[in-house]
Amino acid sequence: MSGASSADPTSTVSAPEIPADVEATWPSLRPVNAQPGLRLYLEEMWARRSFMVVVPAGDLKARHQDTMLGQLWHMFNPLLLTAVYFLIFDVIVNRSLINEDATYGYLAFLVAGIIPYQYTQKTVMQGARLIISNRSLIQSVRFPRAVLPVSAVIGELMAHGTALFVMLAVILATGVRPSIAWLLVIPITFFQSIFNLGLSFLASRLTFHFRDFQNILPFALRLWFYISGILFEIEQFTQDHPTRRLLLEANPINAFIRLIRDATLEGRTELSAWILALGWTGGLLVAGFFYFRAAETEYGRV
Amino acid sequence: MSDPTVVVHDVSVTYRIHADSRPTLRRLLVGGRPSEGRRHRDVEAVKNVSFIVHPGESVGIIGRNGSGKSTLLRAMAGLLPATSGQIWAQSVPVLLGVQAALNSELSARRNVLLGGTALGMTKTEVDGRVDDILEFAGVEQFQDLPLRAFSSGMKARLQFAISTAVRPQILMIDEALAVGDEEFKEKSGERIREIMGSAGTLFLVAHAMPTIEELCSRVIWIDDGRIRGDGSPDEVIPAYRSAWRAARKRREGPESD
Repeated sequence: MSGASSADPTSTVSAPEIPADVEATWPSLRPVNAQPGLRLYLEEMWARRSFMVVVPAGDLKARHQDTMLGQLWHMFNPLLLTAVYFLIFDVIVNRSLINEDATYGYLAFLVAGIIPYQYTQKTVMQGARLIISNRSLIQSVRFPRAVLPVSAVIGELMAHGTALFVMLAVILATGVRPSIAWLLVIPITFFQSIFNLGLSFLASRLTFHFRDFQNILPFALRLWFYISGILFEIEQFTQDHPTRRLLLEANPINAFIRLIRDATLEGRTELSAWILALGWTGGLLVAGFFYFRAAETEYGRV
Repeated sequence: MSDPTVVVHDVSVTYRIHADSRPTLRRLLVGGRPSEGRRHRDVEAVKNVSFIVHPGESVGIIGRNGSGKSTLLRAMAGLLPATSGQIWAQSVPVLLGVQAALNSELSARRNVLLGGTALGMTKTEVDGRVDDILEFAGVEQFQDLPLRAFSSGMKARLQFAISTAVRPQILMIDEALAVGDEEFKEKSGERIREIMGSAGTLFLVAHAMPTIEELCSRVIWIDDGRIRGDGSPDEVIPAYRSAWRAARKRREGPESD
């Protein structure tokens, strides 16, 4: 260190006279880091709705651009994943994991669980990286930061759309007859997106404060995958354990998966699953949004 | 007298840098001094800075690299929280920095939409002005090419055109004017004067003194996070230059580092 960095104690600059109450003296001035009220905040988000769609659409297009199969990977990824689990649990383990007198096969059961789960998993993982990966944007443009998680969920939803078609195609191929209840996949996915958004809000701010969270997350998500009744029917394994069953079925992911399976595999829907899924969705959205927004002016520090 | 556009009162900004201070094998062998026992270090980038800016003023901010100029701009734009002190402004200052919102895989036209909406314009507003913006940047004939095919000068021009299309009352430019050819420099200078003419305020961080002399009516000199000079360009720039020469002489003197 050379002496060049020493501050000049003989500086001739005198601080300007600033009145004690700036806003009373000059009424047109506002603090630059003032948090807009909730209504204004939401309006500012709405004003950026094109931004929230254009950005993920561009990212999605760019995602597999350098691969030979290109955009087809959006279809192959869910197919391969399903194939791996099918190979392990149907061909190798070869033990009945679902109800014996079900009208559908294990493959259909599996695909209707893995695909919806993947959607939540990917959004949460992305949510956890959000503030860090958008550092330069956050440090140079002022916009409601909640735009970022919303935009990320929209991007994952676009990718998930393709995966849902793959899911339905696989279900059809296993011999399940399509029914009008398949249309329920649309509202179920809509609410799952909002559920994912709530989680994404939480994950974004948590990693912003504790980078370690990003390392824990994959394990938490893995555990969540195994307890969500994706590979097996919860009923089948908890017949003599009512408490255990209650706990496993209170899991919101399981509720969404049940809704998807009921609609696509059996052409029906259950009110209890809807209540559970919507309850979690509403609660998480509100908690996540307010938790995320409370640190709004801090994110520039990332 | 009308209200000031920006008031900065006793503002300090401290960064927390997470330093890796684990004992390394090399340090153990060579016996070097470990960098303190702490896991992080607080860096005071801006220290007790105060000033008032009035409508129509254009303020050049000068100082060496790392003296805190960019941090100060970011704090004034509300992008970075001040650790202490407070900043007021008549409207939220817009930092010329939309490049972070742009996507190099998308076309220039699409990027105008992206940058414009990031700055808060509606899609209809952008649609109505996209041709003007592309024309101002001088890239109309390349509007369908992806941005990655653009030269850095073209990108900088487009960025300037997008940022100034919203006509912010307070515009901040961080070392961006050095780009572009003579013709564009003239056009951008004109637009800046336009913004200042409509009772706006400009903050310009630059190392090129001629740019500052040409565009700024006032210069703030930041050194090591503190204000060391604040006044007209013909007062502050010579003082800055002579301090800089003196510092270089000291460095090149006894040590030959």
